Amino acid sequence: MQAEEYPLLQVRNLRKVFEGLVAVNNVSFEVERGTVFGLIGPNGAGKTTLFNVITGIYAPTDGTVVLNGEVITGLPQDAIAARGVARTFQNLQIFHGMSVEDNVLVGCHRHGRCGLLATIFRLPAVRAEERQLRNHAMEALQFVGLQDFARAPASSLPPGRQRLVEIARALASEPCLLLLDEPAAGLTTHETEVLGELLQRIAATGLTIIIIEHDMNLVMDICATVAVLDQGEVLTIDSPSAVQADPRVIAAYLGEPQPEEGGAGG
Amino acid sequence: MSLAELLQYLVTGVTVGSVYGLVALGFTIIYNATGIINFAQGEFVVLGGLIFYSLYVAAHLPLVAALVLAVAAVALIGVLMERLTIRPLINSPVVTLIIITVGVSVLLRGAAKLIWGPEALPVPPFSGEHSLFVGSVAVHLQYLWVLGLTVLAVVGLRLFFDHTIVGKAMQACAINSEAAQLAGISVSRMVQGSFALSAALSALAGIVICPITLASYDGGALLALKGFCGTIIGGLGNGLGAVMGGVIIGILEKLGIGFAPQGYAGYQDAFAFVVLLLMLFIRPSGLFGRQRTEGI
Amino acid sequence: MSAERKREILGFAVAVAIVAALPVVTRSAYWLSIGVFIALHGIVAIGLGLLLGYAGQVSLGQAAFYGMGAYGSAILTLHLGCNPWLAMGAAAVATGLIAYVIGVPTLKLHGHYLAMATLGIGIIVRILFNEGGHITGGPSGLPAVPNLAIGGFAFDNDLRMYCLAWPIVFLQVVFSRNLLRSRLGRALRAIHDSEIAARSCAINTAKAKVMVFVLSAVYASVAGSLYAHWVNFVNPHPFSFPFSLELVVMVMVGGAASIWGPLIGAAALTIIDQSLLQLGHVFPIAEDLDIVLFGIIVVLVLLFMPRGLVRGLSSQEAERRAG
Repeated sequence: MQAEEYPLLQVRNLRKVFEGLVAVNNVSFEVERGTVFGLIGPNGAGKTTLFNVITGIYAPTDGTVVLNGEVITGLPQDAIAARGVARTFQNLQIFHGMSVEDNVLVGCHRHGRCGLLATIFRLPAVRAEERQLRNHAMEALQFVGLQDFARAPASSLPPGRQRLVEIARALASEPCLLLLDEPAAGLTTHETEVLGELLQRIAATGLTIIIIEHDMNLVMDICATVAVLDQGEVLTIDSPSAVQADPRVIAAYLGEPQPEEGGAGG
Repeated sequence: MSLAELLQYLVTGVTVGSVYGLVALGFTIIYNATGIINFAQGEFVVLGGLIFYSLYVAAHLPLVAALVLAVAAVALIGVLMERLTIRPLINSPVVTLIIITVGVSVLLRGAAKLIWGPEALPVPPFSGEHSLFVGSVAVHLQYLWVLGLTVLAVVGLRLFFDHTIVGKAMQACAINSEAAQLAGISVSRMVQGSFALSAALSALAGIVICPITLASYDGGALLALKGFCGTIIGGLGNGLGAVMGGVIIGILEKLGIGFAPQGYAGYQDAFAFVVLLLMLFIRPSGLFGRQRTEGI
Repeated sequence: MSAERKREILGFAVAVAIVAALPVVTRSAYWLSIGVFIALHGIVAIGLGLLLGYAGQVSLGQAAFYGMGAYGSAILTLHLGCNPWLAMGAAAVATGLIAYVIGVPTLKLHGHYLAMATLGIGIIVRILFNEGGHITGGPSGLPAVPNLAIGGFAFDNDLRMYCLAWPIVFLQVVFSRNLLRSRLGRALRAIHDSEIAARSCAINTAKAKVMVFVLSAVYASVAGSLYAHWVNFVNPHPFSFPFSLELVVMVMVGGAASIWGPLIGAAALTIIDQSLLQLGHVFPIAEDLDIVLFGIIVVLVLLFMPRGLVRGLSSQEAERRAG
């Protein structure tokens, strides 16, 4: 495939301005296929905004995002998701009125084809598709270890498991790129360990991942490359150990309380 | 069509248009404070006219007293509506809030029908049946009342928003209610105020127009819709744009009748909605509005 | 067979039994005609319920779509000599197309432009019916709309219409269930819960909303056609704004986000409406009460039972069991 010559994702000179406030400024980076790319930086550095621009929630003020050699900037959010970009949200966005299984099934949406008429008459094609999607969803649930909670209302699970539902939903879409926005936020130490182990397994499948995370141990463990964002700009892009030793990075974090780092280190 | 005829249609158009404009302004005030499109807006107009009828025609109160009392009464109804139906649901999905305003509008219309009956009630013009002639164009004195009071209301409102503490607080709430709350402004009081103000403006519109159109319990939906057309043309949320949008609707509507072939005058009321639909298709942000960026 | 599936089938069987019992208990034309009205209103309400409950949008012009079906059937059969079934289908397709044209631009917008656009369509359609000259028959309408018939068997009385309309309602219930238990239905429920997350799962939310809106318009049109072929007469009056409102009330009272809710709401409101009409023969004021009563019902239901009777009662029951 010709697309294989390019990195999976290229972000070029990306800029997002909200009514005079520059949230993302001239950000460029590339993510190679099958790698885990970490995005760190103090609160308000523009990490989530960057995710929102890549996934099409916001249109960028300037710059381009290239996925598989195709420019995706300006496409609507659902069209970008349909190209295989899946994500989780920092503030959980599960479908609280639905069961765990149905949540994950929604993730499979892009693999279905049946139209409205076929659906209301429940033609054999629809039944077959449903079976296939259900198997798919079950696999994703098993992968994250929630197979026993398939029928439970998603809102009845504790936050840590709801996070896993979101991850399963994203995995069920069989993405080419997975964006994780602070997956460990609000989790207990034990839950974070489980999550770390899960992320390792996801990375081992060869899926390309970009992860925003404050938990430095988690980042150091799984990321091949880390970009540090500060005040909307890229401070440095390097290997985790080099980034950790970089005095500019330490300066950017100075004054920032670092409970995650201290807590996880101790 | 002769020039004189054209001018005549323009004068009539601007007059009914300023009533639509007042209704449009009413929509805008509530929308800015709450994000709700208030479907009971037309009922405020209708109640203004009907209460005014009772005070002015039935109870023989002096004009100004009847006018002020009727406006105050409808403002009170606006406050009650907010207190009893909007405030308890303010955190509900928008669709619920919209339907509750539809419910209130039905309730008010039904109540109006019970109290004032189904017949349209005649209200005499404020300054008699005289007209002012500008060349060959007749300007009914009631038209001057309508135009004068509209201008007065719009200017008064501008001054209120720009030069009083309460007005500024209301604007602050409209721009960013959380920040306003942090600054010590009671947002719920301001929402209540916006309902009172909006109801009062619509009542005023209903009062000045009722000598021309008669006061009737069921004219609300049509007036509300035409007012809403005005807000869409002006760009939802833009007060002055809304007034101008209303005037544009009025002019288009009357010119539409003027230019329509014989026998098609019945389509008059459809005209505003065709404009509304066209606006929604072509330029939903309005003629004077700007495109909003959507966020989470 | 899961417990859920058993409950589903049991509920369906009970509903069918109740409906089937009415013609056995009474052959009174009055009660049967109320039964037909409930079915027709129910067909419209079920569609509107999908729109309200799952797409989170409200249409205030559903009476206009009902009217388009009725007038479409009347005009095609009377002026063009169309077969009634064909007329019904053609009217439904045309109504669906009109809904599509309205839905595409308005449902892309954030907020509730659809409500106003449908309100506008409702009023335009009403004016067209009134002013349509010999095509629509003007204010006095079109008489002698032919009955629907299969071979020589015409659906020409209340009992026969009852037996035609209710199976359609039940078919719709099955359709709704099939929809909600599928990929498209899950997409709708997802939109209802979180639009932003739905879009991140590759769901085109605007397209899904348009789909439901068009479906609701087609349902309304079919009900309108059935009405025209049943009463054999159309005039503008039944298709105006108050009926659009009444339909919204039916859905809100019964509960939008449920399959049976809108149908139960349709039954309740139709019976209340008819009772007031009867009461009006004795106390003339009762007839004027209907509007104010609908207003009060909407306000009270939204304030105290915002999810409607069906969900409201079942969740109270669940709470009681839990407590």
